[in-house]
Amino acid sequence: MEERWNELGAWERARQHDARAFASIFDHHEGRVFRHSLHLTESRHDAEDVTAGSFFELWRRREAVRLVGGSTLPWLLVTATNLSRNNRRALRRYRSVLDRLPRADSETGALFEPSFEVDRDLYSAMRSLNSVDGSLLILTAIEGLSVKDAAGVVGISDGAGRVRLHRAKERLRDQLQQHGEHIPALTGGNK
Amino acid sequence: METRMSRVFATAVRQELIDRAVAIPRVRRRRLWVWTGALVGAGILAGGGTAIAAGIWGVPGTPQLATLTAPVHVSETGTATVALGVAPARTNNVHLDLICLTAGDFTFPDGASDHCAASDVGTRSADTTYDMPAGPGQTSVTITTSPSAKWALTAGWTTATLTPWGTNSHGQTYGAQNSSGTPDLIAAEATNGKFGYVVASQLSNADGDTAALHFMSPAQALAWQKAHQGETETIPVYESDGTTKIGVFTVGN
Repeated sequence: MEERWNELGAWERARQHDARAFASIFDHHEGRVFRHSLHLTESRHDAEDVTAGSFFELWRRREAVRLVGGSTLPWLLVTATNLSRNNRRALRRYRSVLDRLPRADSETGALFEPSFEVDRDLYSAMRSLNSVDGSLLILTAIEGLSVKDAAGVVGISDGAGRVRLHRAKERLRDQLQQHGEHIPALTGGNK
Repeated sequence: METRMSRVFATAVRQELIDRAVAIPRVRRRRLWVWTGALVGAGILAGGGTAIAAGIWGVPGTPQLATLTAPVHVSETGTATVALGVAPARTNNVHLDLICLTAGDFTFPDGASDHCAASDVGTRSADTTYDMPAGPGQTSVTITTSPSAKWALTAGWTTATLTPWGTNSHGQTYGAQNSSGTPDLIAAEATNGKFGYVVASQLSNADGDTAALHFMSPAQALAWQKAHQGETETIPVYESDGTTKIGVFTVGN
């Protein structure tokens, strides 16, 4: 039986310069971070840059990363959100590396995920929110985090998180109602 | 829609992350000047990342190097010992200029090490200048590397003489921090790239050195660090006259 991957242990080893441990974190989360970035950017190329930049930031800011439930994924998703908001400026630090890395025009073996289309509406709505509110929404509605944990990842208090999330949902609901649309994730209270 | 990164790109990113993770940056590349132990981490000039090797030589209080022998140029793969010949009399320094030709780890004879990422190769970051005190009877230097790492070295015997600090019309000393201590005006690179001087007392206030004088316990020091974590302070950078402002220097805690 395959041993269950322990991300907390991998993260601790990675911080001690264990390259294999750090690579395992990339292996586990790159797909999710890329799909998240794909929703937030204009092209695959930009989404790849944002994904790579998020992991580069994970390493650069490793002493400040906040894990939720023993996982770096929420932090990565918030970082990707922030990087995607101002793609060019935010990624300037990594521009020379990103430009040097090889790209592929097209590859076979495409992976389709049913959830991609479902999430698309929510992401589309999220684009009208600021970075903090958008991250709160994604972390709670898609990643299933509690408001408290999501608030911690974006660096605000539990109470502020509840208020902001409530207002963000209200705002989005109003916008969507004007267009006759409904997104299930925008209904219900905040945990 | 394909919801997966290109495997070519993902593999390259993964390798880049591995390169970053294995790097233990004990040597500050291109910003390092180390000599005779007494100058290790020469304060703001080397340790603070405020001076560039090529730019510090004219600063009072920095060592002046005189080449005593023609430098040796070699290209090697893996760990190798480079013969420098017998050191002439008056030699007190070995000057090394190491260029990594592939990614890898490179350790100097005194144990200081440097890591070259694949992204450094072919750029200015691949070049590390390092100075070490010459040992008695020394005739060679050994560079220890990760297996199959390629590198080029230029090395030679030199003498290093510490130049004296300058004194301006206000009677203030100016120059680099060194084994003699700290001048009134410390050499620093402003955020705009200009070289100048910061007032030592202003720097001490900004970076916690002044506060440190009053710490009675490690707990107090930790509390100070925590309270000021993430803060940056900006102090002026002056010409050597101590009054003409040419830029600013930021101190992060």
